[in-house]
Amino acid sequence: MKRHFALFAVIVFFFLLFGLLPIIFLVIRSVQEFLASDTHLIVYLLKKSNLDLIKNSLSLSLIVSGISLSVGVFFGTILWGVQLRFKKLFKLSLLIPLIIPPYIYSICFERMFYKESLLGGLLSILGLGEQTIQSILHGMTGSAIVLCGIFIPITSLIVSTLFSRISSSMIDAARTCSSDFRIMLRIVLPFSKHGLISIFFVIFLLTLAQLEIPNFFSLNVIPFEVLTQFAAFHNYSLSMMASLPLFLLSLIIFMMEVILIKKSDLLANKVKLGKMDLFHSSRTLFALSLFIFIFILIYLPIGNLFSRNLSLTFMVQLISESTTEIWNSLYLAFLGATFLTLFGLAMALLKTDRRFPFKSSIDFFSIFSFIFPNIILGLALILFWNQENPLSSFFYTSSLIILFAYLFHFNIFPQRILSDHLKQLPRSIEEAGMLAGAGKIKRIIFLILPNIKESIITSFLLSFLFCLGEIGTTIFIYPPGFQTLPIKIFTMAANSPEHVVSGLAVLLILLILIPAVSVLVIQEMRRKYAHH
Amino acid sequence: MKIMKWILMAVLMVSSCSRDKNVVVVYTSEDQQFSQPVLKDFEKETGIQVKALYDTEETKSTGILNRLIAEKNNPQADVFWSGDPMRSILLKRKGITASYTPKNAQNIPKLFKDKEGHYTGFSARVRALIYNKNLLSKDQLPKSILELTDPKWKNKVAIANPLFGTTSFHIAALFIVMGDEKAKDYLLKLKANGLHILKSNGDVRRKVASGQIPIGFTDSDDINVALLDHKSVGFIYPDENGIGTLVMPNTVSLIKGSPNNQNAKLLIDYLISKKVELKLAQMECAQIPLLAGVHGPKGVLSIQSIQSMKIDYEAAAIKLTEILGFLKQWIED
Repeated sequence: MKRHFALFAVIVFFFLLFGLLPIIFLVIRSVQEFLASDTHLIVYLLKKSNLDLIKNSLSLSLIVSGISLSVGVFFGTILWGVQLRFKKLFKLSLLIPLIIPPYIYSICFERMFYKESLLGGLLSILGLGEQTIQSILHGMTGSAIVLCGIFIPITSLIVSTLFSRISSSMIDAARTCSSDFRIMLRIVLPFSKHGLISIFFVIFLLTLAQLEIPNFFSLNVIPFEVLTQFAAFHNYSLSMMASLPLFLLSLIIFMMEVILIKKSDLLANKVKLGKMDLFHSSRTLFALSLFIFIFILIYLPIGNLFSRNLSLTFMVQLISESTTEIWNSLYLAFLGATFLTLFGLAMALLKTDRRFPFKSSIDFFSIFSFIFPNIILGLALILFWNQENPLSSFFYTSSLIILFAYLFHFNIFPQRILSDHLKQLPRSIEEAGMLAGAGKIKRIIFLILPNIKESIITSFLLSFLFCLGEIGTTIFIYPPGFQTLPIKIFTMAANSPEHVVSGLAVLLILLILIPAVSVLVIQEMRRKYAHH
Repeated sequence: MKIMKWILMAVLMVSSCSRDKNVVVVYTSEDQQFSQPVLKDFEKETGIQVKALYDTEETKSTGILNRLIAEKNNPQADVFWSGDPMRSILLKRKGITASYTPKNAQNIPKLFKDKEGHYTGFSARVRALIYNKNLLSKDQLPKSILELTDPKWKNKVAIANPLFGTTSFHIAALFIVMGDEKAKDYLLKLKANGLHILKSNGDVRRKVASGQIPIGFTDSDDINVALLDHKSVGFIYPDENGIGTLVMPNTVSLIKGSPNNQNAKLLIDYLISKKVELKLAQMECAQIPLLAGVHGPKGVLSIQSIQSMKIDYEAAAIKLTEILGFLKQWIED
């Protein structure tokens, strides 16, 4: 148990360092300023405009998380259990919305309905002009569709990974006496309930913290009030207070999740993985539905980027002008993902240890750090780390400060992915190690880690993507002379010609897709070679 | 262990952005595609390394302005290059800028510089109306922004969120020239006439260029970008015979307690120069030179040819802080 407490102390120390201490420092300052002002907190929070913001934020989060989970379960089932050609291509395509900054995705989505584009032209023939479409998309509808376009793909991928942990021999046995649909309802979904609830709440929280997309479609949500108080009024204390509803809602969500997950005490016994072949007779229909989704919400909007006069010469020029930013983005995302995976693993190990008394605090830490508005986190980091002493100056003037923000903000993803997997590991694995006389560290390295390899890779990749695309906090804290590619895209987006912005976004996509496709091709070639 | 070594090396690389001696740190809200080439030229000519932080109106200038305020007690920046005078005045009022008179400052008209030397203006943009040529013909265009409250413009006009960026400056300037009551009345009528409040000037440009909205308020550099992108748009400088057009110079300020003070002054002198003004006039932003005797290329207006709005920028900055509450209410209602 001593080791547990030591590890917990290390986690708490890093939490304090990365963001908690800066935030506490800012909260004390803000409360002092707020008390000195003549604003009454309750009166301010209960203003009609603020209540409207809460209503909008809650409605949007419910709609997006509900739709994303439902559709994600459907597509996740297809990706996991249905034999499809080009499955890897589908999976790769589903990663694209995660790579491009949400702001650029919103622009692409909107352009999809311009008269000159394929869909826009088709709709105008059907009598749905640009203005009609725009008025439909304005506010909640547009925000919900675009957010679903971003979250459904990732939900589908996570759900398919979740389902793949269920023993295929169990499914095979069940198939001898039941229909595939019943198997889904009676076995697959109940066994994955824990993970599905987690996905729902994470998407709910992700949507709750969203600013860029609702702002793009002119939907006022809580983070916009935080931004307004901060950027227009320069009132940091009120900005802090404006984010209170976010914390309260997150706390409620956290409590609900704890209660629901405690009730669903389902642990899957992963035995062997095999190729599933569910819904064989409907697979064409399923493949078509997945293709239509990918085509409309990914290929069509993203295709807009590629259709903007992007010649090879221009792209080469763009690459040579952005080499520094590309390099900065890649190695920062690599470091971020590495530390996030290690950090997430440490948290997951503590969280899943039944004997550890503070295990529920791990999740609370993660949710708290995740829901914290980017702007406030940025401000807190500046006020805390920009001090006249060599150590804090060292952190503040180097890009380590961005790493801190990544670790503070995104630890929920590796922590959740890894702890979900750890919970599903049969206890017999560790017990066998104990009987063989292996110590805790040996058991982790030689028994546990190899068994959760798949989730470690998923955690790394997901963290890499999140770090690579991060703008919200980075724009506030990046050191002078150090830019990442998404920041460059964002700062160039306002007044650059469309082909420059499109070119940069395409570059960001290719940066991920080229290595990913290469790995897939090499894997495929090796597989074929081994087969021969 | 090998992996750990690699990670350690990478961390060291990340943290190697240490302070160099011959540098100048500039925070700029001027769009990166226009400010970066100027700063690169400065680097080449002087050998002083420029470490820049860029921002854009699209981010509501959240980044650098608030960062400068937050860094007040331990400044990291040497120079603030602002896309409009409001931010510089705000920083001056918060005691973040220092006084410095650039070498060429005497050739800049008084209206565009601070009496105490906290900011100096150069290369300006103007507020204008952008319209879609496919939706409006020249004879349909308004001569004054005041006409836009007329029912014939119902649901046809767009403006960016007036709490942020140059739109906030424009509205504050209107309060100064029209007086509080008339300005409030004008805004209320505009809103009642179905005004579209969009998130940024860039958004106004995009929506007008795509034909979703016929006309909108935006900045001259936004318009020029749309023109160069071969969009079917035109523009007018409204109120040439009335209250005038709002001219918004770039401004440059020295940060109080800046770590590289001498280099900062060199950069400020460089920015207030004929060369930089010409460069900014030749770029897509087509900014208007302010230095006496500097003429931009064909197609770029001269400051003398514009009937500029005669306002005290500092008074407009103070006015903005007074009307922010009203503007927020105006948007929300």
